[in-house]
Amino acid sequence: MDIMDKLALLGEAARYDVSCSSSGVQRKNTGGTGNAAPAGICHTWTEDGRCVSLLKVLFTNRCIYDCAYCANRAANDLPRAAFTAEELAELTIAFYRRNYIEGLFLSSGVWPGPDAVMENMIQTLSLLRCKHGFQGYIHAKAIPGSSPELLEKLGFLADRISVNIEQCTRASLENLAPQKSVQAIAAPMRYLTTRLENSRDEMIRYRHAPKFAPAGQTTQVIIGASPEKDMQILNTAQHLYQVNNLKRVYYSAYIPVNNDSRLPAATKAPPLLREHRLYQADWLLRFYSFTAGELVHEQSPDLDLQLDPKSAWALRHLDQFPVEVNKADYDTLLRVPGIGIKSARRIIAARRFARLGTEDLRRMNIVLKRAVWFLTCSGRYCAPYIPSVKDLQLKLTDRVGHMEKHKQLRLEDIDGHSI
Amino acid sequence: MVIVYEGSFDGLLSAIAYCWQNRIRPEKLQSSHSQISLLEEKLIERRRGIGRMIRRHLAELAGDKVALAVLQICWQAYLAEKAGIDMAIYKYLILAISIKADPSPRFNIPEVNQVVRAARAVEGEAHRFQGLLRFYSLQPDLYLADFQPDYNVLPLILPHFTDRFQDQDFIIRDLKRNLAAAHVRGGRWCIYRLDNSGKNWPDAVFLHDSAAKGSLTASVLAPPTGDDLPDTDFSQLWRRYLQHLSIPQRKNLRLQRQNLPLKYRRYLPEFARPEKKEHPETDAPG
Repeated sequence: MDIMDKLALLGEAARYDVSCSSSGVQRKNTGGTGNAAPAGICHTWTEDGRCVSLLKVLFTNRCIYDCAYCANRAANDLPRAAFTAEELAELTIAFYRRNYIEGLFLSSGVWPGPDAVMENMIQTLSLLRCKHGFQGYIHAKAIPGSSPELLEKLGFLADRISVNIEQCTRASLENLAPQKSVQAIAAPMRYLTTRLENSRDEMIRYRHAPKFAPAGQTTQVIIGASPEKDMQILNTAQHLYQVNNLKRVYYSAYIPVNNDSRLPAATKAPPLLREHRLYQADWLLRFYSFTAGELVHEQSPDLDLQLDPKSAWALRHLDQFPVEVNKADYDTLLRVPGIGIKSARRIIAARRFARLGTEDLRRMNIVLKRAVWFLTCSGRYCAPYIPSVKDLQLKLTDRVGHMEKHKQLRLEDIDGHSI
Repeated sequence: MVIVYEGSFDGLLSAIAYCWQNRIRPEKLQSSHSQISLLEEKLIERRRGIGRMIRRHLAELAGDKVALAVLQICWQAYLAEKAGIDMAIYKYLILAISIKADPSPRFNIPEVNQVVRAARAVEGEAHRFQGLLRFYSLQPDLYLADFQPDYNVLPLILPHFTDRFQDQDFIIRDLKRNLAAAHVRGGRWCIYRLDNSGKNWPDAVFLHDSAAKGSLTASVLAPPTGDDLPDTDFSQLWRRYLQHLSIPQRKNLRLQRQNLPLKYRRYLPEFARPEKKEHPETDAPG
């Protein structure tokens, strides 16, 4: 198989991994090739609208596991291929030099075994870092069931490491991926958590301590392949953020790739809107000091698809509104629908010099579409009238599918109908 | 009085410093590149090192951090090349000196708002092009990238690429402004102005350069001729890879266009039409 087909095949095999970020680490170039920018840089966008910043490939798509949700499961009849370490390193460098990519995202099928795969990956990364002097971003997958020594080696080469949990309850994991044990996934995750903490300590103590995965650890959960509610998913995510110190949890709407009685029917559309709401909720957990319990609870275990989670929360807590722009503290401002971190900071910085009115907010480029219903400026309600609860609900509802509903009429549509 | 400055950032700063020192309130600041007016005017010469002087002065008043932030924002706003921005920068700087603080949160002053917005737009585009610039390998060790940014972001993105590709000779051409930046291994770089065809190099004028002026090697300064085909191998590989990376069930061209507007796609190999000759030269503005 030539490199062209191989890249296409192994790129396609890796596309269900949604992690894309290249952020969170600053790496200076020390005479070699490449650096890493803490903000992360997107290089292009594919037809599905997702950004591409890293060369995302599998080392091999051969796999011993037969997980129901995976396109590369052992039972599938696919062409199988593997890179060699040299091949992949050279390809990465060639793409990087043309500024196609920000770095490498290396994952792999498990073949012939977890440790052997990890050794291949480590070899690729050492070639990049040592032989080519590559200082760009590297995201590496830790293979479930691999030994801690290899994980340790991988951590010193990569910027970010991730272990995908894929399913957030033991029952679903046992159902859909019977060969993987919960232990095999949890162990490397726990190991990484302690190792990252140690590394932070070392760096405080010794200035030149080598950095262990400076951009931290992430994971991915598949949405919609198993019957979990949003509540379970968000509680898991919150646990991972608090206990395992994860940087990100990625949510991946299940794309039907296999026909399997344990999975939703292949004709069902992927739950993209649900995925979007989960990301919104995830941001609320990480940056807006919300807890999972505030967003979903036993009575309504799923997020509202029509409303964004913050608006839904605000509608349930109307007694806490309106908020005075000139007085409310940062955390209170953050809870106003439509006001994000930048807007809240801008308001706090600006009101030290002048009292803010609605016009000032507009001039500061603060989006008032939703916020206007929840704010007062110097005691004056910002919106033109006081809405009823039902009214407010309507105003806050995302008009999803708006474009589809109001399509322009085509002649073909009229034909055959009596108008 | 209308103050005319030499049309560079240093020129603008010199004019502002002149006004400040002589207690002049200019009715208008005007670049010497733009139209001549009939009003009384005064031409201010560019003073070398004026940026550093202003920065030191500001640092004494408000601290290093503020001084750097103020000059940075003025520089970015200047690169927006918008009409009337020079006057806004003048007011912004004078305000910074008189209040001895960073004026950027005082958005209720129109000029501050104008400068901050322009700077933000320029910074945004510079960040975009850090990802969207594409290099073609002309000769085994020389890379060329073309682009046409809305704002003059070349000087802003250059440090990013000179750090990233320290061991690489490269040229970045801004074909909209006929500017080019050349970098040779080891960190030497300079910015040129090209002639109107955007192709001829020997007459190029040095605009900015790093310490070692004139030490750029001939291979970098040699004009890329129309016969060098860019490396189609890698751009094909890249295009094919991206086709396979997209998930068909999630196809959403509207979202793609929202994230990557069409105006940025002109020099991206992944959007080059296969039947067209894939050379950046053919896309040069006519």
